[in-house]
Amino acid sequence: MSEPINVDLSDDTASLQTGRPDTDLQSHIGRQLRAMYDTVVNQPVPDRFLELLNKLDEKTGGTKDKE
Amino acid sequence: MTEDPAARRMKDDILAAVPALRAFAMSLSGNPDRADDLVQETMLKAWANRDSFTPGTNVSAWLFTILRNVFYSEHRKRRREVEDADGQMAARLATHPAQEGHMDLVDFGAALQQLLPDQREALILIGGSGLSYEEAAQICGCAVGTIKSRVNRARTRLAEILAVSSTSEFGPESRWATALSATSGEDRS
Repeated sequence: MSEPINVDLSDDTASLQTGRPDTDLQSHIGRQLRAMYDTVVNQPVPDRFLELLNKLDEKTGGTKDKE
Repeated sequence: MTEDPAARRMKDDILAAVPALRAFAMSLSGNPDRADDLVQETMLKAWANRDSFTPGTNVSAWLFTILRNVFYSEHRKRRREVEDADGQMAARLATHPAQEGHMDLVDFGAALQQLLPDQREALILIGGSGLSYEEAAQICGCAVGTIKSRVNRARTRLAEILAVSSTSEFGPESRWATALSATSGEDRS
């Protein structure tokens, strides 16, 4: 199974490695990277961050003093 | 109380970036708790330095850069405090692959942690976050060519780690072993 590298993501990084026969492994790596990333990026924003942003806003009072 | 529109915008930008920041932090640190602590630290720093951000420029890249800086300063601190458990694992993999025997396919995340940080982050930014080389170079403060070579080295190293760790015996029936042996004869620059 040595078809041309056709990974939809990081395609040009894979193609830089001209003549690499282990395309299966590189495809696997690409998928794993993407899966890792997508898993987290699709999670809802944890409350602690929402609360933090609200706290920051209150503390500085909207920087109106800087006008 | 009128909220400064720039502050409002920065708050919205930070919030919108949180998922991507968490994903980047997760891949960098390999630990969910540390990742979220990194993100929190990043948000605090970004807010404190919001006046240094030029509106209209890439706010995501700016935030990623901050997170990266936070990661590296913590990383340097931790290296002094904590014994390098990852390094020990890497040493075991390198010297006794066959004897690891029933080591299952190493968790991909664990394998990723074996990479040098600059290679790992380049690989994550390009292959995970899907950023452009230019953006990754900007975030890492290096040339585009440097990012490309780090990604290549990361992929090569990762392939070696995965190939070695997935075989209890280094036999021909292992497809990864076959892939590894196929590349080992190449002259890789």
